[in-house]
Amino acid sequence: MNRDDAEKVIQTKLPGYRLARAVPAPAADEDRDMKIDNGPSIAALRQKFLQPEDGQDAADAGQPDFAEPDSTSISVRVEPDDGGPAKTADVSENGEVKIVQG
Amino acid sequence: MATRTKDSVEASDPAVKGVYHFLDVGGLKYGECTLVEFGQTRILIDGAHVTDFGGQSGYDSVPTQLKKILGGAPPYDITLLVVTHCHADHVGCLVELVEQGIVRPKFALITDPKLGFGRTADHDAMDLDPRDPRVALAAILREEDATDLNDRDLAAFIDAVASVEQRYTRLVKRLTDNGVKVTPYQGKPLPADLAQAVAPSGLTLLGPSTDQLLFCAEQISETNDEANDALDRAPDAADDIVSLYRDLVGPDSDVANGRGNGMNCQSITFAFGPAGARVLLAGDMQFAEPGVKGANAEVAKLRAAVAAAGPYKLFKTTHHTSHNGQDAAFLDSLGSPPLIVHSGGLRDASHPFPSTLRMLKDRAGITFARTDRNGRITVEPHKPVGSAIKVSRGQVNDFTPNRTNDEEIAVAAPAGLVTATATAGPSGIQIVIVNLPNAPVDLTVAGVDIEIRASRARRVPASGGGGDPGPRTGGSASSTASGMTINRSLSGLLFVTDRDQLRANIGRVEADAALAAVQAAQGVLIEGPGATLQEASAQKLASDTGLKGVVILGGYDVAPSIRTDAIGQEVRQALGNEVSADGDRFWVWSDRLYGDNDGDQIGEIPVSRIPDARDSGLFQAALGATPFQPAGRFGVRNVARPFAEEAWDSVFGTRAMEVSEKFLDTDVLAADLDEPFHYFMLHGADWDGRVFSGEFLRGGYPQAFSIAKVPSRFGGVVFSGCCWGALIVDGKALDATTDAPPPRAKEASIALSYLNAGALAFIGCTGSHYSGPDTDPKANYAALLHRAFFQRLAARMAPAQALQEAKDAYLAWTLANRSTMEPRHLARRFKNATQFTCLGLGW
Repeated sequence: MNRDDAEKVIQTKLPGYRLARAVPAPAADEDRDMKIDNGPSIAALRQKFLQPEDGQDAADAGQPDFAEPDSTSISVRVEPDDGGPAKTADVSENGEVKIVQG
Repeated sequence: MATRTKDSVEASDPAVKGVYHFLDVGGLKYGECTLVEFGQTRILIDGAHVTDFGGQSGYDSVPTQLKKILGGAPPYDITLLVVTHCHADHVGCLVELVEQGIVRPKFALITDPKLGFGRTADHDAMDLDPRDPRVALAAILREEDATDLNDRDLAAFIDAVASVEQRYTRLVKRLTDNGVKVTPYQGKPLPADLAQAVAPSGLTLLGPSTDQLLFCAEQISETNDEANDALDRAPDAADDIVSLYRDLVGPDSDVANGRGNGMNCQSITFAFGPAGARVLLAGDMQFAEPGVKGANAEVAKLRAAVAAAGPYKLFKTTHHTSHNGQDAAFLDSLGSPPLIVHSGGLRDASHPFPSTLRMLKDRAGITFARTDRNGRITVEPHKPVGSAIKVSRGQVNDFTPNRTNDEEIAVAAPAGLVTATATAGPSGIQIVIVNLPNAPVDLTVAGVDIEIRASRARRVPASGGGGDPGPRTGGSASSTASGMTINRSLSGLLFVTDRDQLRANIGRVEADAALAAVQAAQGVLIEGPGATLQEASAQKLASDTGLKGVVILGGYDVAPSIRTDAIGQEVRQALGNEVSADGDRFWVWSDRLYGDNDGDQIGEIPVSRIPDARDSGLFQAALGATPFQPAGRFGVRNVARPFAEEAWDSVFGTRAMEVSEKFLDTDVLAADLDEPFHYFMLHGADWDGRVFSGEFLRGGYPQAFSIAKVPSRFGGVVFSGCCWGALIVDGKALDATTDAPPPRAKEASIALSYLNAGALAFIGCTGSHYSGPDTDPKANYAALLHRAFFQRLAARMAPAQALQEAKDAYLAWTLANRSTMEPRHLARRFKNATQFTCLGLGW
């Protein structure tokens, strides 16, 4: 599933909307004069939220950190034909379009 | 005299349509900096204030604004640099911009230094010592009337302007050394190579004439002589230039203070752009009242030349919208431009001049934007009037005059506004009756100095939505002229702030009173420079396990919020290019590290924030909020978000949730808003915090709740699933390059308006929110989080704690199920957990 495919699905399945531009990358972090929090790792979050009380490894330690990406769908941004803000939507090969932002 | 480089241009070519950027010049009085873009042809006109290089507190610096406009890293190539005239608020920080390589001009057209400062040909400004009282006095006399400033601010202003002539000479030398082709303007047409370089902009140089420049120079020169004469007469006064200045230009002076006129009427005047999108930029030219001896006829010729180069679509008002800059007849002569822009700082009661504002307001069909209320303004005059202007904050068409910050600027009582009558009463006591003006006043009655200030509950003028509810009643705090009392215990709460910055934002007395009240109510207070507060908070939490919550006092410019990667490197890497489908690329503002009590970079302790929004009344109302009493509810959801109904069932009360598209902002009743819990599951936008929208199933977003509907009194809790609903600054975390983008005013934010009304908490997002149409709570990105919060609130948990626990539970569920979630689903949940924040006291 790519953006071209998504555009075709949107044209047929989401009347009144069209594909919008992706959000551009911001300035590089080295150009910022500010503190940045790069976020905790999944391991740190697991340690915090899933660790049993006895301090042993979490019971789900063998699980993968996330499932394989679904290649049959894609996240894009869509916007109303008549104007208005763009929103994140998931578009699937089976023709399903979900606006998930908001 | 007019030099036209191009009569008309093809409006279909994007490179020649023209974009005009009027930069935010912050709170300081006056100031102007304009960037004109015609494709790669760029003209930078004037340099705001000298302090705008580093940036005024809470405002973007000029370099930051240029970066936002032009993108990438400096140096920014500029075709033509212009200094319209030699006042300090126009020369501004151009020296630093050039010296530090922020801008790289090819040509410069500048006010001739000798004419501009009224100097003879043999004068060398590099020899001037800004500490020399004669230099300082001459410099302040050349400026606009500054007698409305208090002594401290006047002294600072004198320091700032004393060096302007020397700095200007430095600028010219640096430009020349850099190989820039510098043209000191003496009333002559543009050099041919310069005219050719700026031809794509349609620039027309309109004046002033050589004679007009000379008349002005003579007046400026007289001012220089006046400074010398004054100090010759009273050499001892050199130690107190402030008093000497007041003597020379104050109300008792024999000489009318028209000194600024000479420099203003030297303003280089241009028209730009193609027919149909013509623009007039004329610095501080006093078209309506020149006030320069002998210059009236020349100014009349200039007016005629200006009119002939029109009609205009856009007019930047001259002289900061002063009465002497323009009048109705002048605007008529311009062809009644429908787009009007004002440039100037916020703390200036006389600019825009009130009667000029009224004149503009009375002109039908105009769109008026102003940097003091709207921040950075971008105008594309070739577009339809309704869509030609974009502003970085506030609403356009705000015609309300500014008020001075009465803690900072003491205004002398205008004659005739104050009357005092002393009569003998019983026992010889005098009874004094005073009619007060609507302004701060210092006066002396019967030998007693009296300072009169506005109510401490109000500092920022209110307009539009988020209106001013006036003095508070109810709540847990009372405020008097001498202090503030919080009538509840704040024991167990850690308050963190930067006192100096908070004072700067809401006033010294108000800040000190609030902090004293916090301590009197048994709150633990730690103070320090903003950049140190997050670590100080974490350390305090680690050492004092009795603390149950952190309350940040002040906006991001007081205690920085942290630009946070909501998803971490592993998920970001797995997402790849799909991060660009998120409105924030998964960067959000977060205060969570203020609550990190064990150094693991995960917040454990609830954190809430009481933003100041530069408004002491809002700050006090939020700090004095009462504990929450669960009772009734009011909620509106987007028609495409049915999951909210299920979460709604967890909330106390029986009222059904309203659904938009059918339910619109106009359907909101005052009685609805009496309920103490409000829930909004609607759309929001990062650039406009005043509206939450529903959704038409056919496409489009009806207005479902607006700032005008926020109640003037509200003693409850709001939970918003709206995108960017809790964004309290004018900038997404994604784009921020400094800790503190400019704060939003309450008039620009539903969240801040609720706090102003006394809300205990406004729970919302600093970025775009994820939920979706699914009703299965495990498939919906938000359902479990919302429900977890509602359940805890219904169990009478404080909203700050309820949010923390709800987020923890939501994260734990997400992590336990992570192996079944592909990266995008994990990322959206992580983002929601990171970005939800508690504004207000929250306890």
